[in-house]
This record gives sequence, structure tokens and C-alpha cells, in this order.
Amino acid sequence: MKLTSLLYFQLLFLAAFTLMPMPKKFEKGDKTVKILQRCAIRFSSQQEFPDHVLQLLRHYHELMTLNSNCQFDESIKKQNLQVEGSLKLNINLQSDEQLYWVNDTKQEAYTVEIDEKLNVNINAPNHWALARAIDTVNQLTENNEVENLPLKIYDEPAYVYRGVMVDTARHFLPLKILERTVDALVINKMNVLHWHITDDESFPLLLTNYSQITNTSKHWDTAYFTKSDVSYIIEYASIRGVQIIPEIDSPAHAQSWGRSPELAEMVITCGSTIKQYGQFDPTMELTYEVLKSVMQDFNDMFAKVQFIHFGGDEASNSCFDQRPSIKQFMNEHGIATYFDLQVYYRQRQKDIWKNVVKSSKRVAYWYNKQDQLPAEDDDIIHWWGLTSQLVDVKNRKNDFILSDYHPLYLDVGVGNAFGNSYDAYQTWKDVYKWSPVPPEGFQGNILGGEAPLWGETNNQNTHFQKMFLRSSILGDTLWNPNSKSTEQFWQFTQRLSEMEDRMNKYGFPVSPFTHDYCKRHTKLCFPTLYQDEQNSQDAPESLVQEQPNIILQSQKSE
Amino acid sequence: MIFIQLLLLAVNAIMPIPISISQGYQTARISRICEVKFFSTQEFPDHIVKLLLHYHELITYDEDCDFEESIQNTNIKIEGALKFEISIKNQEQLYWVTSTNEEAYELQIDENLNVKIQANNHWGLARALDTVNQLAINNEIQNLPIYISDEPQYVHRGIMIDTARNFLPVKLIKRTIDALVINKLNVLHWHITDDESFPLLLSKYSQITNNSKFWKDGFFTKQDVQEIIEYASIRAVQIIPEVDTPAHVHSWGISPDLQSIVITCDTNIKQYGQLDPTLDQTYEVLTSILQDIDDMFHKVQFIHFGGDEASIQCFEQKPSIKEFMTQNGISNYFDLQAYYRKKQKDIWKNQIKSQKKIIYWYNKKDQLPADQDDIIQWWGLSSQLNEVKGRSNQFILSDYHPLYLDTGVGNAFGDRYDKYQGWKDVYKWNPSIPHNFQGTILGGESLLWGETNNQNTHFQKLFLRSSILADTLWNPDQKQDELFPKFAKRLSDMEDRMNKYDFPVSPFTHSYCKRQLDLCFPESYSTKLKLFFMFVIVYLI
Repeated sequence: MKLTSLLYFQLLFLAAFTLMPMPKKFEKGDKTVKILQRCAIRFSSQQEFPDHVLQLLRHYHELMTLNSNCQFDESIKKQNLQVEGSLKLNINLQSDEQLYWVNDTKQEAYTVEIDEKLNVNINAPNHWALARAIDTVNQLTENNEVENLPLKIYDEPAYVYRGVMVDTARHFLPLKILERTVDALVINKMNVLHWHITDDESFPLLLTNYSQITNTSKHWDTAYFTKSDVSYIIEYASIRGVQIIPEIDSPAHAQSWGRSPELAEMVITCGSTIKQYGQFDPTMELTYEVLKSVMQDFNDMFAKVQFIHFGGDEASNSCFDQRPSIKQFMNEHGIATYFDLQVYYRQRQKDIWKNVVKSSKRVAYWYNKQDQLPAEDDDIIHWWGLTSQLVDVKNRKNDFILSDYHPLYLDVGVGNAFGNSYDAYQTWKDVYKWSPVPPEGFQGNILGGEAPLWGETNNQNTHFQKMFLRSSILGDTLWNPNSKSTEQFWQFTQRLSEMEDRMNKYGFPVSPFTHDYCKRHTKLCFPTLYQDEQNSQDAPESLVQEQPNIILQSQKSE
Repeated sequence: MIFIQLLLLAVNAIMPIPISISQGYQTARISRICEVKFFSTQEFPDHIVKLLLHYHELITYDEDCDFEESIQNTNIKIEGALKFEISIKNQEQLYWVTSTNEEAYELQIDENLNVKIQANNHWGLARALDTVNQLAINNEIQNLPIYISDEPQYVHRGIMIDTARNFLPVKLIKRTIDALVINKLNVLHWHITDDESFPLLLSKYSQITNNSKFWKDGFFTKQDVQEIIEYASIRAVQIIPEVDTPAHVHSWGISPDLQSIVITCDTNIKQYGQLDPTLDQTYEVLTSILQDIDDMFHKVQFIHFGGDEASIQCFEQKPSIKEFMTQNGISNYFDLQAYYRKKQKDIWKNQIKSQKKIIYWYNKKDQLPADQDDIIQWWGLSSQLNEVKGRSNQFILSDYHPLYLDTGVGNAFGDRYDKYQGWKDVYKWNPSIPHNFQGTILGGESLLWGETNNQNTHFQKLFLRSSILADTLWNPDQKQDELFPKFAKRLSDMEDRMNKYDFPVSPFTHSYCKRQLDLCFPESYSTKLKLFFMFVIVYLI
């Protein structure tokens, strides 16, 4: 009896305490304090803030004082002024080093304590964790007051890899959109921008030796990225706690490489009805010469990133079939099948990467259930099959990134590039229902997940609409998969609704998840996850009683 | 001769394509954009000056030209500048048109960029100006001298927006009108109210508005309405307001004093409501609201009464209704709806004394009565018109496939909802009618229901699919003669145009295919068939 009433209180509190994603643990009081002086916000620390931390603070200062025209320089004054009614952030960073990625969830763990005087103490190992902590503070303070004081939060993500993928080959996306995408990720505590740079349609990255590849395939005069664009976006992302994963897809998805006469030979134009798809001829030395130079450029431009994505998906046998010289080469070199031919290509590519370019960056490849291509132990498998199909690769001990095509493909369901119907749209509820649970006996290691936004029918007009709020839900799941089991569905939609408002406030044109009436009546419109469960008065008693049990269990686990 | 005509047509990627063009082969550069002049033998009335101002902005886009300078009483001949000579038969400001020849126009452009426009009225002028704006792409006009004689096939070419599920601000509605005009569309059907909210400020029952609006200023005033009607009229767009009853009215009954007129339907989500047609209070409120509508929308041609989706189940929830029916000899719920409809019509015609014709939603299940002069908005498939072929009413077509622009991306609850209609689906659609159909097809409308649409997604969902509908309704014959890549070229130009004018439309394909239209959009199905038949015929001969 006592226990039940306790649980009841906990539920009530949860309702008032809505963050997205929810922090792992928190303790809170019952006081509410108004923030009377937005502009008097202060950031202080024992040490001097290094430049990258200053820039991060400036970013969040802009978010926290939106439309108030406050002076950032004023907010980092040395002396720890105790201005009443203003937020006073006291920041304690263990490391001043600038990070371009993290490889452990602890690196993004932080604590935040807020007292009744609006002193905000942040403890974080580095600036990435600081970014997460400040985001939490921003969410807690957005209505010009802080509830539940005094408040203590201990937070750490469940997965280290939480991202989206953008595609700049089908439609070019200007640098500004990439920047804004990073901004959008940060307020969702997401930390990966996987950048599918090139494809059949274009190669919008300016190369040094083979600039004709860029110039003959770019969509318009200025539709490409320079080395300085790349350095800029890597830096921009790093400051905000986001890592960039660049991808150059080969040996398929490479029609754009062969547009200039001198390189035409190395690409086989696949004989589809639309002659738009191209595949490397892996038997020609020219192919590897070009590849080597491109890989070298790649390693130079992206020197600061952690992984490199080699793509490696969807090479087609019928495309190889078109060129008889390939069969001949295979006979001469004892390559029995096209599968082995792909293995041969992959080995040579890897050899160039490790031994010629001498890069120590790990390599990620796309995989789905049909793929049996080899991967070395330290390669990362980017899984675009369903998580349930991981059974097919359960003995692989690699690191895995999950991008289940259902529900994580954000582009499907609204027609393809030809206006024909293409797959089924994945709704926000589909994304909500997804969780990264691998099958029994799975030997691999799940790093996290990523929602790909393929670019065939996406440009800057539709970018944020397609990406969010579905990616916000993925961000929620990957940070704290447990919150779904401890809260009611309507409580989740309440958090989602606040995220929608937040993103609109910061100028991201996201798709609404429901209409304005249901947004104001989340309890009415979203009583339970599944529609057929909605007549709870008809539900058997056992089902009704199940709810508190779930809460009890998760409390124990805390 | 025909061959040459076809070739020439291909050069002019106008959308929609005029019904008749004859043209030369010279190109003239518009070197002095700001020197554009609008001349007429009569003085331009105010509404025409405003229309000219609107197109002046589009034509001189990015150039910061002075509009006042371009209105001249004398016909000055400046080289390298567009010189419009406008002749309009009727200077009256129109709020709607009722026949296609009211939007007909003739246009002549010579090698010296003298542009002669003849139109019946300012609506015809708007269409002519739009054609000139499309021809003057990239600061030059090709194929001069050019002569165009144009007229739409259908008089009703529109879209529907919904301000009840998500509120849409006045600014967005005006921008929607701007977008319609450059597609030669002429109807904005405004589904104002629904279960979720009643965002129109009423005079007597303002509590309906105030209790259901989504935020403090999330509603339209009488002044907003008049501003929108005026804005639309100047740009040759008619507004059709809809206040849906007797279903879709949960928002009417939120205040305690009005609770009894609305039955809250006992669905899982208590969000849907229906008027109780047996209460006198219902008709009292209805009379006042209809009076407000007639006052506010005085200048529009039609009023849309909705009338869709009343549920029997919902009526059954209130036993007093059955009782009333027994006492008044109303045998079933169908007759109850007919009873409501009759009383509503009586209020409209005899109490408010409005002359405006009424539109109702219909689909194949509907057998509800409609008077001879009522207009039927058909949201079934055109192929299902069979079931109403005896009705001699006027029809507006809104086939739910492919003209519903909201479907396929989930409903308000995040659950799957129907299928997305691709732009090619809209392209394949034609306002075809069954044999022996007695009605008249006024035209069509694509519908953007608002459950999952707000200003962030508005233009993305409306366009380019509505541009294709516009193309079909203006000139449906074009598709018969045109190769698919030519259509794709026109669509691609329209996409560029809409982006240039800052409408964030959904891309219809990627940038590679946009530049390789012949490769990506080789030929249409119909062309394939046609070529096949031609081949067969040649073979047989």
C-alpha cells in the first residue's frame, strides 16, 4: 500500500519533469524558481576556458538567451557574481582537450546540480559531456523558471553512437544546411553526422588530382565542397560534440567517377533502363590509381575524423556481366565468382588505405542480410537490414551500427526519383517502437544507431521535415532506452511535443507529429501505444495491473 | 506543318501550356528589366494596379525596380525593356468567374518586346501576365514574334487548406494565394473549422472560437477574412469558405452553455462531435453562425456546408434523439440528416436570405438529397461517378486518390494512414466522366487536410503535385501530344520558378535527373501505347 502511493508520486513528478531524452538518474525537490534576468547568465570555471569550450558556450548562450540580445562576453566574466534570478553555471571540466569523437559512453556522462539560488554546478569529463549537460540545463530552463529544485542529475547515454545520415550526392546540400543539421543534432543529444558524400549522381567533393570527377558531375557551378568546407564542418561539429563520418561509396554507386573521357573506362555503366548507375571495373589498374588518389585526398581532408565509411553496398552481378574482359581477368587470376571479385576489390582497397595511404582510421561498410563479404575484426558493420535479421551475422564479432531500413530510413514512402511509389513511409510511432535489441547469441557489439536520409527526393526544402521529429525519437531511444518502459505513452508524447516546440523555436521546420488539438490533449489522444489497447475498461484486470510492475522493476534497477 | 508546331511547342516550357501558340524564331534580350512599362488607353483601376504591382515584383525579381515608374500614360518605346499594352474590356473587380472565357486572353509579343494583352477582365489579365512572366525566363524571350490565344478547359481549379487541425496564419494563406497564381489556379477552398478548433471569431458565440482556439491569437477576425478575400480577388483567386456540419463540430460544444448541442462521439479518442439535430438551440446557434459567415464572406460566390461523415453510432448515443424522431415521423438517421440539411438550407435561403450556392461533400456512399443548384464536391474516385450519374448537379472533383495530398505519411496518432500519392499519380489523373453522366464538371481540387500539416510542411505537400493538377485542368489535351520528358521539363522549370519565388516545394526528382530528363523520364505509358498502335497500323497498311 505504502509502496503504491510512493509510485504514484513518482509518476506525478515524472509528468512535470520532461526532458528529451530523459536523464538516467535524478533526484529532485519541490521548489520552483523564476529566472528573472536571462541576460545575467554567467559561465564560470576554476580554469580558463579554452577556445573550443568558449565557442560551445557561445552556441548555448545563443540558444538560452534567444531573442533577448544578451552579451555573451558579459556572461564569461571571471568573478563569480551572485546575481539573483539569473543562472550561474559553474563548470568543472576534467579535460580541456578538444575531442573529435568519443568511443565510450562515459565520455559523455555528466552531473548537473541546480540549487534554489540557480547555482548550476556541472561536472563533466570533457567538452562533449559539457554539451550534453548544458543541453539539459537549457531544456530545464526554457520557460523562464526551473522546477523541482534542488535538482541533481546523473546522466550517461546507453549507446555511444547516435546519429543521422545525410546524402549530398543526389541533391547537393549547402554547407549552411550541414551546419544547421549539426545544430539540430546537438539539441537532441545526438553525436554523429554520417555524411554520404558521393554517389552515382554526383561527386561534390573537390579532389586534387582528379578534380574532373568533381567538375564533370557537380549539379551546378558551386555545388561542391572544398577542403576548407570540410575542415570547417568537422571543426564546427567537434565544438558542439558531434563527430563527422565521411563516406565515399565504391565499387558500386560510382557512375559520377567516370564522366570525363579519360576516366570513362574505369566505370561500367550498368545497363538498367535508366543509365544512371555505375560500377568500378575492379580488374583495371586505372581504377586503383584513381582510387588511391581519391583515398589520399580523403585521408588528408578528413584527417581529424575517427572512422571512414567505404560503402561497399549493392554491387550488381549483371553489371559486371556487361564487360567480357572482366570474366577473362577472373579466369587468369583464379577468381571464381563475382563475389570473390568484390572480395578482391575490397582487399586491394583496404591495402591502399592501410599500406599506401597509411591511414590508421577504421573502416565501416554497409551490410544487410544478403551480404557475406568479409570484414576484418576491427571493421565496423553498418547494418541496414532489420535488427531481427542480425541472426544471419551473429557470429561476427565486429562493432555494429544499426540502421534498420524499417523504421530508420527517413526517405521512404513518398515516391522515388521517378515519381513511382517506393516502399512505405515510416511514421514516428514506428520509430518509437524500435529498439536496438540484438538476437540471442549475437557476438557483435552494438555501438548504436543511425537514421539515414537518402537524398533522391530530399533537398533543403524537405530536409528538417523528413529528419525530425523521427530522429529525435531515435535520439531518445539511444540515449535512454529505459525511459519508454517507465513512462506512459502520453508522457512520451508530452516530451515529444515539447521537443517539437523547441525545434520550431530554434527555427528548424520539423514535421508536426500530430495536430494542435492532440498536442494540447496528449493524455486524451495518446493514452496507450497501441490503438487496440485503448479500451482499457474492457481490458482484463491482469493487464491493468501490469503497469505498476513495470515501474517497480525499473526502480529497482536504478 | 504539324511537326514544326510540335517542335516549337517544346521550346516554350510553360506550365500550363496555352491552348494555341504560333511563333517565330527570334530571341530578344531583356536588357533593361527596370524599364518595364504597363500602358493602357484607359486609366488602370486600383485592383488592376495592385495586380500589376504583384507581377511587377515577380518580373523584376531581385532588381529593386520602382513600380510607380512603370505605370505610364504614354506608350514610351524603350529598347530592351518589356512594354505592356493592356486592353481590358471590363474594368470591374471580380471575386470569381463562372465561365472559362472570362479567363481567356490573347497575347502578342514582337521582336521589340512590345507585349500586347487583350483580356475580358483582370482575371484574364492575371493569366496573361503569368504567361509573359514564364516566357521572360532568364531575361530573354525566345520564339519571337509570338502570338498566344489561351483559355482554360475548366473554370474551377483549386486546392483546399484546413485551418482547424493546425492553425495557419494569414501570412501563410496569402503566400498560398501567391503560389496558386503562378500556377494559374483560381480557387482556394478554405476548410475553416472542424472538431479540433473553430478559428473564426464569431460575433454572438465568440466562446466557440475562444474555447477552441489553439493559442491566444490563433484565430481569424472579420478583418482578416476580408483582407484575404480582397488579396485573392486582386490576384484572380476565389475563396470558398467551409463550415462543416452536422459532423466535425466537437469544437462548437466546449463551453458549458453549448455543450448540449454537440454529441461527443464515443470513439476511443473523445475528439469527434456531431450536432444534435433535434434541439432548437442547435438551430439558434447555427443561424447566428451562418449569419456571421454570410456577413464576413459577403463577396464570395459559394459557401461550403461540408455535410460529410455524420455517424449513426454517434446519434445513437443520445436516446432523446430516437424519441424526437418517433414524435416527428423521422424513420431513420438518414432522414434525420436530410431533416437537418433541410432546416439548415431554410435558414440560409429564407432567414439569412443568402443567394450563394451551396457545396456539399459527397462520395459513393452518400445518397443525401441535393437541390438542383447545389454543387457536389466528389471525394470518391471519378470512376465511381457512375453511382450519381443521374444527378444533374455541378461537380467539383477531388478523387481521394490521387488528389488527397495529406495521406501516406501517418495520421495524427502516428499510425499508418493510406498511401502517399506520388506526383506521377497526379499526372496520370484526368477528369474523366462515365458515359451518360448527367452532371457538369466544374473542375477539380486537391485537398490538403491538416492533421499532420502545418506551415513547416505546407508548400512541400501542396506542390509540385498541385502544379500538375493545374496543368491538367487548364489544358488536359496537352498530355496526349506531349512526350513525357517534355512534361518533366515543364515541371522542372516550375520547380525552379517556385523555389526562386521562395516556395519550399518538394523536389520531384534529384538534381541528376533534373538535368537528364530524357534519360530519367524516357516516355509516358500513353506514348508507349500510342507508338505501339501506330506501329500496328503501319504494319496493317
